Amino acid sequence: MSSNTAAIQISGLTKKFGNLVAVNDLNLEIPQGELFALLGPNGAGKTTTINMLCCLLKPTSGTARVLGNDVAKKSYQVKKLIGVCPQETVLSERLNAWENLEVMGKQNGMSFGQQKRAATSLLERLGLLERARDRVPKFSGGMRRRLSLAMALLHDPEVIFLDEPTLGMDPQARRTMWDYISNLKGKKTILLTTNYMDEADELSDRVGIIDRGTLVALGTAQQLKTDLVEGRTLTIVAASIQPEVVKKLQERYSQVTQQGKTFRVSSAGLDLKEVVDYLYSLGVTISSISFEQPTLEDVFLHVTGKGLRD
Amino acid sequence: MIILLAMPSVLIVFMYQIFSGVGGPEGGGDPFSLERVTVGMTVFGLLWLMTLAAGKIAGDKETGFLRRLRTTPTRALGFVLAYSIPPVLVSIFQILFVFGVALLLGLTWQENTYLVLLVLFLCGLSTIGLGMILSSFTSNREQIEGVTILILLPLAFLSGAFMPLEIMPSWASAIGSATYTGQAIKAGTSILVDNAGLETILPELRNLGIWAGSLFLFGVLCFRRNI
Repeated sequence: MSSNTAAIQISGLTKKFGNLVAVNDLNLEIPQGELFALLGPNGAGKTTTINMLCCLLKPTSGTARVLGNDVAKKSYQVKKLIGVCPQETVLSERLNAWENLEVMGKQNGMSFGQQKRAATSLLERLGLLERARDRVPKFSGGMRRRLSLAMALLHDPEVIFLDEPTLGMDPQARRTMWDYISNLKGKKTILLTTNYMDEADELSDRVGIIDRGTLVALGTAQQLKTDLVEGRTLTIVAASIQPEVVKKLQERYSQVTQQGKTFRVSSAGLDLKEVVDYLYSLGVTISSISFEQPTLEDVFLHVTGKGLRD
Repeated sequence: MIILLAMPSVLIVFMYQIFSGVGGPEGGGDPFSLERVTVGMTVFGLLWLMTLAAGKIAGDKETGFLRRLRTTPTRALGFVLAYSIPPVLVSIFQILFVFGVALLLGLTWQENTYLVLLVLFLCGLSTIGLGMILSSFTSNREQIEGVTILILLPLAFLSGAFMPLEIMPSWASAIGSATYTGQAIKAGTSILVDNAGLETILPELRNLGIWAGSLFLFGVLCFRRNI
């Protein structure tokens, strides 16, 4: 496989369920070694996209290739290259952690020795080695998630699909997962879906936001924050502030909110010097002033709106 | 699993000890003789494999584990073998276990007894096929348990697992005779009670072969469609 072949190439990918268009003419290219975060509201088409990429669903139209292999025509080859950590923590409840890994190892054609080495290493790194012989029903939600990740990574796949891998985890367990995923960056291609914006911000090389089956934003987290959120916000703490000053600020800038001695001024192309000069001209003594960075959540809400989804 | 394996043997002991010598229709022999009870209870035990075969598939469908396995490079045949071989092995073990107990209770091993094992194996294979078919039309374990009970109990009664077909009403006997379990019990009883040979049971054996082949093949096709 040529090193400049994209790990994932999606062209005009569409999936319809009856009249519902779950994924609509999706075009995307993910280079090898990239950690790509696919964000979107519930029902936006993230999982449907992943399901098509891992050959569980046939596309209605369009093509998707994993390391050059068409998912519709060369599913067997694709499956040899991928590891999937599904959204629901899918484990065999009849088996213990070790046996669950064994099943995945066998299905992926690993020898006993390979399985044993890989399983031991993964369980150790994910903090599950001591519980390896415990049956799955005894596991907490976080442990199940970690085991599910281990099952996806056991056979050392080139392309990894992580569908909301940290859903419902406590902060410690999330950090463990993040550390592990971070270690894979650059070595493996990872397509991650998540509803946690901080997760995407922290881990991803690039972010795509999908809404109603269509890709509505694409770029690095920083690019999206800079390009898509037009307004800038200043947080100002003043020694004292008169109501007429707030009124004047509200006339001048698009959004001004006050809470005690702190007020926030938002406007497109907000200039720090201009605001400071204006406040001095109004006789306001500034105690502190700082720009607020827009977050990925601001970007997300900006491009997908604030309306509730299913 | 242990219950599944032990149940027919326990039932043989109970049925034989309690009902043996009760008597049946004139000239029909003892309906609860060790030979009849052994065949009947083995078939009844094998019918429970339906729950095992279908329950495993339904359970893995319900939890999504089967779906997860589908993301691995496994051919359809691999899935078929993985889900059908364990119940087939259980059926073989169950037949041998039951016959072991029956021999301890005094069953005589005759020259044609090995044919009973073949008959019962075909019966087990048919049941596993039926289980695979049922698993295609259900989505969870609870449904499977309900449906299999609804099928296996009437099937066991009608096919003569608990009492000979001869002492049943003619309509029930007619239905029972047409089932694969009825064919298995008829052939098995002929061999053990009358020491019948291959030629005598050939019609039942042929019918059983057709049942087993059709049900297992259809079960495999249904399962393949499912995955």
